[in-house]
Amino acid sequence: MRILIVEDDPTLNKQLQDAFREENYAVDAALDGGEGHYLGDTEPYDAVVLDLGLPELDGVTILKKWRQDGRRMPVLVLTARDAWSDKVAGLDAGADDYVAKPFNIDEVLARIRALIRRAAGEATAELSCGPVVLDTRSGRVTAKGGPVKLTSHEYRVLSYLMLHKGTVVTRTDLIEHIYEQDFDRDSNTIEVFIGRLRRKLGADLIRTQRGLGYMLAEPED
Amino acid sequence: MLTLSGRNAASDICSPNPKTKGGFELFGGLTTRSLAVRLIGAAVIWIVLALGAGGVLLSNLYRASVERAFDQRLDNQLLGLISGVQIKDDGTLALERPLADPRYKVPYSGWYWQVQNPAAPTASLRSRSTWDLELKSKGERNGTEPSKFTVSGPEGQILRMGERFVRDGNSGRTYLFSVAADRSETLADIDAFNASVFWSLFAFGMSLIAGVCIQVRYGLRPLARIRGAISDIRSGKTESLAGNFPDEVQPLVEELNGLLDHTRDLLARARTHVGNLAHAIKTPLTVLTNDANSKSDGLAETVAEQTTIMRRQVDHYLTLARVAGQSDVLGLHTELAPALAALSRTLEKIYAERGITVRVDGGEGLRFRGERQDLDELMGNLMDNASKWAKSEVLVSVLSQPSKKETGLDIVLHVDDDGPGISSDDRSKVFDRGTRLDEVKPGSGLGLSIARDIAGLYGGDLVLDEAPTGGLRVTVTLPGAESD
Repeated sequence: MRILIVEDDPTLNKQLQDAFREENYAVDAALDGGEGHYLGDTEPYDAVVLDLGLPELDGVTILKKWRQDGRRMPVLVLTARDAWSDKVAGLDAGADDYVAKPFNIDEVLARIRALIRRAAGEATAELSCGPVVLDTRSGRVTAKGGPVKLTSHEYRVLSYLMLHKGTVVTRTDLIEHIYEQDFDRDSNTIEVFIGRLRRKLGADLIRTQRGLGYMLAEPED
Repeated sequence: MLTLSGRNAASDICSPNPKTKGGFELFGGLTTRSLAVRLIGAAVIWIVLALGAGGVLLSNLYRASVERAFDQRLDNQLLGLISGVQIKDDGTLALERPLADPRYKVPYSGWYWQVQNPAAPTASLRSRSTWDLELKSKGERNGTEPSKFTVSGPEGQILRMGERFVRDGNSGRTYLFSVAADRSETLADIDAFNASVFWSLFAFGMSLIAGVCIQVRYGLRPLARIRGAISDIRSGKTESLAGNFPDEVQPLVEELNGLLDHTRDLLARARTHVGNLAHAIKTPLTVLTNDANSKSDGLAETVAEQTTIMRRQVDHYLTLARVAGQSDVLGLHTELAPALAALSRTLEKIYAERGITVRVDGGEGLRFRGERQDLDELMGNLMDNASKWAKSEVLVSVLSQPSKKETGLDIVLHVDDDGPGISSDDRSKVFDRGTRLDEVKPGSGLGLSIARDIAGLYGGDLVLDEAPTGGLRVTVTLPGAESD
């Protein structure tokens, strides 16, 4: 899962980045509205944390632009201006949820988790496919009842596949959603991650659709 | 049922003073504070004085002229008498050509003549009308000019008398010729004239006063129009004084419009500053809180504890600062339906996880007489609270009723949820500052208090009750108006 954080306070921005990385997200961050808008406009994020009070471009304007240009990713708005008028303005501009400053970062993590899950059409926090269960709240993965240890990148690949269960995910999709923007991307590493996941979770969980990509499906038996 | 109504001094000051209400009615409220009464009063005093003096002058002139004419007649009669009387050589008198007026022949008719020889009073000659009356001479010698004076006559008559001494050249004797006439006919004449002068001047004065009244009303009409326009601004029908006013009033109107703009501008700037302050304080607070939460030494604990307190305080005072102080600004109004619809969309998004529906029933064509932000804050808090507790649905229903206090409407908003509700005992505790009856659901515990404060600032009230679905019903009454 890859998210974007747009927050002009560098300390808070760093705190948010650390918290999200801890939860195995790929995180891009912007300190001003211009950069934030550019990143959201050009990169496929699974969710965005957007501060409304930004230098250059303010949050509401960025949101409106994104929505006008057809960017549909879920957006969580952060703002110090927690009057109801501001909440209405933010959510009417296209935000999906709202957290008022000062907040507890756990609150932001929980809201983003819920937004990503809802966007994928999942009702519960536990994603499952056959014997594999992924708890998005704790980040724990179990297979056939036993816990499985995954690296951060493996976790990202698995959660992305589980959220898009039943559909074919291309290698490009995976690259775009598991790597941070300035990471040196190598498409071969995707195959390495898929191979490791198959070893840890069972060989028939992830199917390869030749020439297209990968798909996660319930076992057929 | 618990009723909480907020009153503040400011709203009393700004509510229209009933005493000055009839200021432009002419005889409604006679106070010197009314321009119309001043103008009309001064005009009435001036008209009465001027017409009164004119009447007295006119009456005196007429009286003088009538009396002069009467004296003239007496003179003529006297001359006629003198020329008609023949003085014989023996000194006896004979009337050769009697005076023509028949009244000299009727006793006590009011017209008399007499010729006397002062040396031999018995040998005098008199008109028949004198009967047994002797006209008493004053005996003033006045040369050839007749002397005139007033004496009392028979039967209460007041006689004007003219007499003249005539010396007979032959005998060297002097005779006194007198003519007298009753003045009552001239007096009646003068009275009749005075009466007609009085009544015509009275009618003239009344028509002048009526004219002044019409003129004052017409002249002061722009002021009445301004009053109407300001009342329209108060009731939210318009935002500024529109239209052309006379040159004397136009600068006032422009100043007033400027003041209204200035007030709106000030309000907007104050809001911006409060928002900036909030932003400036809250971001560092967030950083502190989260840093403290990630560590577990004593300092971190203290910081976490204190930032929580700071955060509550900041929230509390910022919210109050946002809503305070602008509720009496003239000319602010907010369409109800779009504001409620936006809030319901917002809340459905916020509570999407729990699938709460927020329905708004009614409100089309109604306006809240106040600021959009205050309405958002008030209804946002109430609807948010309802959504927190609702099982599946929040219903906001809007009614309007004629206002009890001023002109215009009261808007009545019911916010119902289908949650557990609040027992009637607990309802009174809700408004204790920062009290939360639950410790389960998130929130600062200020929502209902803030909502009540805002309603109070606008002179409305907020009542807690039970909803038909068993949950909590919050009923808010606010000043409203109909949309154009």
